[in-house]
Amino acid sequence: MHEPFPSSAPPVVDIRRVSRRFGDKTALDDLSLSVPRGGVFGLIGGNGAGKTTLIKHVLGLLKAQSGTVAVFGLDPVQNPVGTLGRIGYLSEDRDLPNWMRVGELMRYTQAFFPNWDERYAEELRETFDLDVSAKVKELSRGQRARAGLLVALAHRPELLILDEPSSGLDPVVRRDILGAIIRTIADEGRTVLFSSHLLDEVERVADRVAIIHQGRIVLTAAMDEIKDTHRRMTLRFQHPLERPPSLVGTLSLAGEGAEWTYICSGESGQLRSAAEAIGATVVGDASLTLDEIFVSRINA
Amino acid sequence: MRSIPQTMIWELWRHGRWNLIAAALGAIAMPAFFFAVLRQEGVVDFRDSSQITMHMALLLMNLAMFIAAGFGAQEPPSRFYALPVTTASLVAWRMFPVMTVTALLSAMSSAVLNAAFGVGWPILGPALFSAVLVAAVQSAIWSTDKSGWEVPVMALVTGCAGVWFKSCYGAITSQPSFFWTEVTTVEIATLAAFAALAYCVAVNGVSRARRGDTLPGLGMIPWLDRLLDPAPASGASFRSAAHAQSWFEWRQKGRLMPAITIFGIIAGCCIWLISSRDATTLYEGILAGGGLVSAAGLLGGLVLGNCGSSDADLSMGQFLATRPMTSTEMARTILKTGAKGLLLAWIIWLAALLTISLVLRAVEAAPRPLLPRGIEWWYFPASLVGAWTMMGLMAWVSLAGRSKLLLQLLAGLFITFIAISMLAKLALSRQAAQQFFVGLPVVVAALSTIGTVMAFVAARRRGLVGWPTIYVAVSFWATLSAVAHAADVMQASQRPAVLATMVGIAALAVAPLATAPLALAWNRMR
Repeated sequence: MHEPFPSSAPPVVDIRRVSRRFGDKTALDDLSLSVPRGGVFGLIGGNGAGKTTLIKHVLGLLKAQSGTVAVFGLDPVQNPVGTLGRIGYLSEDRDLPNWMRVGELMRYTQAFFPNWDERYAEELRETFDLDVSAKVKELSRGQRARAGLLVALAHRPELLILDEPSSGLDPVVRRDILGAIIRTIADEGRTVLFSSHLLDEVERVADRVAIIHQGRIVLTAAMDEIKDTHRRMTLRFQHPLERPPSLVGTLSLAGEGAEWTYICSGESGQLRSAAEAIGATVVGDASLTLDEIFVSRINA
Repeated sequence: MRSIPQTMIWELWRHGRWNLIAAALGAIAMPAFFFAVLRQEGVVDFRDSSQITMHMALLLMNLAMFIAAGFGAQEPPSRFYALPVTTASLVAWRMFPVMTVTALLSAMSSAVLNAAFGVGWPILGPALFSAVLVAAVQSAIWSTDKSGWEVPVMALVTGCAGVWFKSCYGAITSQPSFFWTEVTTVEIATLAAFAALAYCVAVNGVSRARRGDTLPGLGMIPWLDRLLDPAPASGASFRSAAHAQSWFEWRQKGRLMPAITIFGIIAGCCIWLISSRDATTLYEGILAGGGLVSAAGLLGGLVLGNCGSSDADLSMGQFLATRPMTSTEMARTILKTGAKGLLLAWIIWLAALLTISLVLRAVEAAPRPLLPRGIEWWYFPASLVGAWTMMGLMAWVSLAGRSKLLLQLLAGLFITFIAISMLAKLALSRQAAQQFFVGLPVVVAALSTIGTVMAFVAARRRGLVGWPTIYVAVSFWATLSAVAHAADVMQASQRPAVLATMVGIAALAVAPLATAPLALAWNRMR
């Protein structure tokens, strides 16, 4: 049964005040994040922002130096079988055993997951055009990604974690197949947590997004909410100004003379009222792409 | 940097200076240690012909260190393919600096030992040989990279080099009889020709690799691949996750110990055919193979414990780390694989010994008595337990997934061993040194036992071992200790010390039951 999103059920992933340092570098800084059950959760951030470190905490591959991580209500470090048995994971580096054949990889992985769906696995193999007798070391980067995706999906996991899933996939597979799979999983009431640099892809499939920057979550909200609460407003003032007055929720501004463009967080109505209050006329009001929101948030 | 050659030499030094310095120090320290001890004991005569064999062995060991250091300092030529440099120049500036460094290191280590101990080692010949060998190895590797030819060509190069080297110290099939002190013009010309050939072959190979062509194959490797690794029958599933993981481990690591044993037996027989052909030597050589199986356990353990996604990276790969399986189960599977491979290797060695013994008896060339003096029945189980202990120790270190720690530990052990030995030899009287060396194994054994107990306590606290495992470990340890007690291994005067050592070894033999899951969990959940 498909629950409404965000679900009222307990979160699938609940991270509270987790910090992690590698030597002098702080990878996660007092980070808290909750991934609700059901739907697609996009994790976006620049290189070295902490996305993979965060995912490794969820998988129990890194122990939180402070704070707590709960997946399905369990500590993934203490209970790897209880958590990993319900997770499908595609790693960023497509770390698969090179010596295995695709057929062996499928049979081997099947043994760990009682819910493995043989018919679905075969269907995916055909869709991904993978030869069962091909060795993993002989696969191209894209084929490795497909093989990794196959074994992550075929046991119909409750939580699918994809770390940069598009890396190495050609545009057809990326757009049509990956997008369709992710949506199907979400529609079945399961949860997808995926990190990506490709913000248009996140924008297309994610229901909820978290922006991570320098080990901290700078924004987390439903995709619609994010798009509704970030606007590009162009204001015209009566006289040319060297420095325009600030507007509530301004993330960045650009312009000159009497016309200035504000990137703001806030709802359109509120921002219009605020603009009137500072004596400006709204000449343009547009929603932002996720890409623009991300850049303005990171640079703010 | 002003030029490509300068840049490449700078890179060699910048990247590999510590390796090269360590190799140079090691090449001087190890022989120096041997000679210091032998001189202290008064058992060394540098004019004796046995010194030629020692020189050859130490020189080859040093050469292996220099080549490893040189290779460790260099990136493969493929990294430079996109740079505006000709292949001839690229090969030259990857090859000649390492040749020069190797020759210099070889000459320097011999010169230092000559000055310090008056060993009279030749300098020029071995230095030139080192330089040419490193060029030949580079050429072989670069020309056959990622092809099925790599192993056969390397074997050919090593074989030819071995024959040449041996011929410089006497007839190829007999004991070395003289030092390679005089390097003739013909020898220099031959070595120069080999170096030039190596360069030309390397340029040809790198050019081919650079333009993306592959080396034509004979179809033997795919045939072997199909033979050793046939496509699996479709549809057959694994009974359980543990079964699947056992298959995974066995396919990756299980065949190593049997393969090493088979290779060792074949190589031993070949060497025997070339050098001795004496029946007793063959029998004793194969018998000594039991000890070599133990030594091979070190390598087996290193490979067994490697859960990384490559040989160079011991940290557990994400694919393996995310298997829904406890660290205890995973460690148990790894240990079972190691035990199975080791047992198979031991049975192969035993079967070879038995076969050779029967053949020699049939042709009435069998040595009598069957076991040499000082070796009794305990030798056979001891070789198995010894190999297991070595394997368990190395597997534990490797399973921890910290390459740096592994290197530090090995270097620390080596330095401690040398330091303690030197200290005891130089600072203590002969009698005190004897007592020290009797007491030292007892202390090490006591520390091993305490360490094992602590490992079990730690593993128990973390829930990584259950009481049944602890009972099994204690029972096995007690049985091994009792068997060691029953075996009349040593003279009565040394019996307590030997027994204490045996108890320590027995503790180390059961330690992997606790140390393996601890190390694996440490590697898996960082």
